[in-house]
Amino acid sequence: MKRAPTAVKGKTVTQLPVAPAATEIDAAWDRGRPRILVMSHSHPRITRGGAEISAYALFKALQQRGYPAWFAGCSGSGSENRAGATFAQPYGPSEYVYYSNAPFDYFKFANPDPSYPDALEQLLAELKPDFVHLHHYSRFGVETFAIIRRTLPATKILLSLHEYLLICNHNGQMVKTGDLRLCYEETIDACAACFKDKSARDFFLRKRFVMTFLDDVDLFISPSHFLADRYIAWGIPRQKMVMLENLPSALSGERKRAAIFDRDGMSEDGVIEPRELRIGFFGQMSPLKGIVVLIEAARRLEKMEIENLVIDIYGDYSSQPPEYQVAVTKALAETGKNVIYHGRYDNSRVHSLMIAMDAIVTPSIWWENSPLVIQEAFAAGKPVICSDIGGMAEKVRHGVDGLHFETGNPGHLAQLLARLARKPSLIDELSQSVQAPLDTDLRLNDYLKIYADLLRSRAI
Amino acid sequence: MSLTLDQTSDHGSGCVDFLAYSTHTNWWIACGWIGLGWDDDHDRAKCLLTFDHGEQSAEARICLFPRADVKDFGYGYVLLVDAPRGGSELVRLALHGRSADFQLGISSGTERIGDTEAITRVSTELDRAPRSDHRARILKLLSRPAFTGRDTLDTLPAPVMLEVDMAYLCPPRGILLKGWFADPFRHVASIRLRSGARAETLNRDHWIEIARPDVVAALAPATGFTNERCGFLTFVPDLYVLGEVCYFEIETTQGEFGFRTVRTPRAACGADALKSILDEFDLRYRALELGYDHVIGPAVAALNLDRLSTPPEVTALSFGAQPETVRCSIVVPLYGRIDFMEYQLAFFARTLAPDHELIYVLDDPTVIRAAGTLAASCLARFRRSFKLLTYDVNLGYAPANNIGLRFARGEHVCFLNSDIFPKVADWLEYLLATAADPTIGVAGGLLLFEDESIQHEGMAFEHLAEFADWVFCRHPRKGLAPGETHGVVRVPAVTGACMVMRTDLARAVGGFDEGFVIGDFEDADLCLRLRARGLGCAVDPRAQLYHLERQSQGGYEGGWRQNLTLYNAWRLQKLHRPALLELAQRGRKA
Repeated sequence: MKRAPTAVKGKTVTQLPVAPAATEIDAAWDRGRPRILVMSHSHPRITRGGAEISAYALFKALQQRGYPAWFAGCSGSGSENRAGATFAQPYGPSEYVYYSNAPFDYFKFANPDPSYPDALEQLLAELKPDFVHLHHYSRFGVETFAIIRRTLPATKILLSLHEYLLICNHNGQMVKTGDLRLCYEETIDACAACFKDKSARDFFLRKRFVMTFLDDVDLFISPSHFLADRYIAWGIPRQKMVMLENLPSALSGERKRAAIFDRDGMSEDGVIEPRELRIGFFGQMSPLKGIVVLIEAARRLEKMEIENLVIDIYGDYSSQPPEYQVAVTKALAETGKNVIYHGRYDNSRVHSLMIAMDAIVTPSIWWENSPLVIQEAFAAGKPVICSDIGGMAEKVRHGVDGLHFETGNPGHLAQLLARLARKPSLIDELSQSVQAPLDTDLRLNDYLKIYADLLRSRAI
Repeated sequence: MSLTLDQTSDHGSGCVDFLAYSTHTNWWIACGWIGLGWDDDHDRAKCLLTFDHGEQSAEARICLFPRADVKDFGYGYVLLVDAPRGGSELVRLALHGRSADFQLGISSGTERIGDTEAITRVSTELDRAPRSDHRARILKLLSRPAFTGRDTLDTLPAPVMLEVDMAYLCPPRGILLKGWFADPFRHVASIRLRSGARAETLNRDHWIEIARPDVVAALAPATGFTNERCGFLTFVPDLYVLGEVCYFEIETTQGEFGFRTVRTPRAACGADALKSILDEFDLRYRALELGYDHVIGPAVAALNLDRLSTPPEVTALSFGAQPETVRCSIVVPLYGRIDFMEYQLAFFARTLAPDHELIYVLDDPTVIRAAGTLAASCLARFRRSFKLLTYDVNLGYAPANNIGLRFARGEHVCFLNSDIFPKVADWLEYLLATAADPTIGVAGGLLLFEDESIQHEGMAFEHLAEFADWVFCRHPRKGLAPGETHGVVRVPAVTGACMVMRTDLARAVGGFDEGFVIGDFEDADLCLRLRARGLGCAVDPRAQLYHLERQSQGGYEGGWRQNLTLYNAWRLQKLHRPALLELAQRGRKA
């Protein structure tokens, strides 16, 4: 399948040019290497979400590169509080955990803990970071930007955006409450319609509140053009936004791209037999991840009598709402031979699991921003079959390193998979165009260049 | 029987031969002669009793009869006066006749006897009187049963029903009654309410009628009673003393009497009392005026006065170092949504000059603890100093603002609603500049809804014919997009949601009038008082703020809240009717 790569949609913010070599950057600091504090709303030792993994990866990469770097995360609601210790260090000398003394206000991202501002000020006074790079504002609260600004007026504040929480009160996913329809634009009336216990004036105040504090952020980093555009439409100044992929933990130095599988395998008696295509799903099996779409597509494939394609589902749904768990269990029980449910998987093994696949499918029904699973797939040299919206459609180029299907449409997905099953060489062609993501060290240069330009207040 | 002849003036005079007080029935009994000229077509009369200390006007029943010894200049009479015993000696009795007042002289010759003896002697006198309706009625009155504490309405020959569903004490001695009354055979001549020694005849024309289809449904089958508007709400101002037994005395056209006790009135506390008092009636046009003049007005006024009679102790908490000299004190009453304080402080931290002081007045004792916690966290986060005043009762808009005014140290004061949020950073500076004009009493802002349409750019006055033609406030251009602005505009009045004035002036006019209940029209009243002093009101359109006024639940609200608004409107008319009429004519012009 030779098709011209489609242009990436919505490319309206600056994509950085290729970063200079590591040594150049490291040597270019006028006053020696800057001190960098990375903050996230959790710590990977506590939870394993994308934002905290990405933030921690940045911190570790900086440390390994020899930069004075620290990490501060928040404890979850289940963690034990050490009385009187607002910031504690259970994981080592350069990592901090914030223990809150008050319930967080998730509606406007305000932190009402009266001991936090002083504690943060003390920490900042001690660490004296030149940059504070936040990967979230939950639990710390948006007031954090103001506290940093008034404590260290010269320090640059960066915020990496991982979802649409500031825009959307529905878990930051920009889908309607109730029927999970896609939402395209925030208006205070539309938001009030999704939340009956809140009024338009509450959403008006929410936005004004967070905007007041976002004013102190010097630079916003978005992992996709799509998300950047949504935030700019919402009100972030365009000149304060850059697009830069999250630091992966997907790829380390030793990982190599897998060789393209020999499509045909050798049977016991030496007869060459065509092997079936393996399409893998990896991730949390929540409603918005589109598992139901995938299972339905599999059912239709069976009806079409496609017998050489198997869908491998790796994931867990035990923390989902009970009715949904019942529905998924039932759906899985009713699948035919072309679906294999493997249960939960160990994230550290994802690379080798993906190697055994021919392609990875991400059938999410919301505006996925930059799901780690896509990077992991590309790191394994596998093309991605994804829904045609959001960051997915941006990261995966249709006909080049993957295929798009109509979001939420199992029939369309089935047709697409059927086409691949009937002509397996298509997968080979796609695989050839898959580019491995930059490894951590190279990606880090991009971040360092941003920091350097910001310090010099140069327009990026 | 001794006679005291007052030869000098037999027209308009008379005398009292004997006098008694019946404690069972709370009547004075007097017997004597009255000069010619008394028009005895009616057996009722108005009477004035003069005591050593004090006077009392009362109603009386009189029956005249011929007496041989005074036949040249008068008639004998029996007089029953419905009045309390009084604390001191009765010295004079005057009857108001159609054409003249009659003084019935009380002298050393007047016998003061016991009521039993009086009744016997009066009956003897009345034997001399010709048979007449008056005589029959007086005899009936004399022999009527005394109230013994039991209800006796059902002993009346024709069915009469009176139920009180709710009774409120309106201090000091007022009583507000809500119930229903059914008199299917139109038997009732009068209804009096008695308490201790005091009595008041109820004027049923002044009752507020309330629809009671449930009563008709219950009574119609047996009695054919169909008047749905048999519910009543009535107020008797100066009657009830706590602890006394209060009862109705119903007199029929045949002179029969029945009694109905009134349950002990409740003390009216807070908004719940107001809600139940003001619910279930819906008055318009002239009925509205009458109903408020006679019932709602005085009742609510008494309740409100009592509610505010003990000023609470105010605790003042300071958060952060307060400015040494203060240019403007911003007073913000809080009720319910204390998170508005959090939003305001976050915004003000960036937009307000440090030499303005913020005074939050918590008018909501249910959230004192939460407000204190929130205040401490706001200071830690936003670093904007402010004060929080708390007390243990909910008072309403006017008292809360006045309490804030007491603590204000600034040259100017800004009264600000908690649901007001700055749009432009310098809003207050503009208002202060405008308020500095000595001809301007109060400066207001251009207030916008969250969709940027106008919420307020000045208030005007207009008649509402449906509501007794009273003059109400309105916000011209509310809901429209703001147009081009050309500087400060003089207007008839500005909203209390955002008002800046000189502090000494605010104090000189006594702040807001606390006679308005909960919150309505205090702002209009203040503006009218300023205008009376020759000071104008102005809106500075550069001072733009959002007023996130809560929208009402769509359409006609009705119910107790509207009736409370009408109380405040009624009060406004009483205080400022001539000025309101003039402003209503002027429309939007200042």
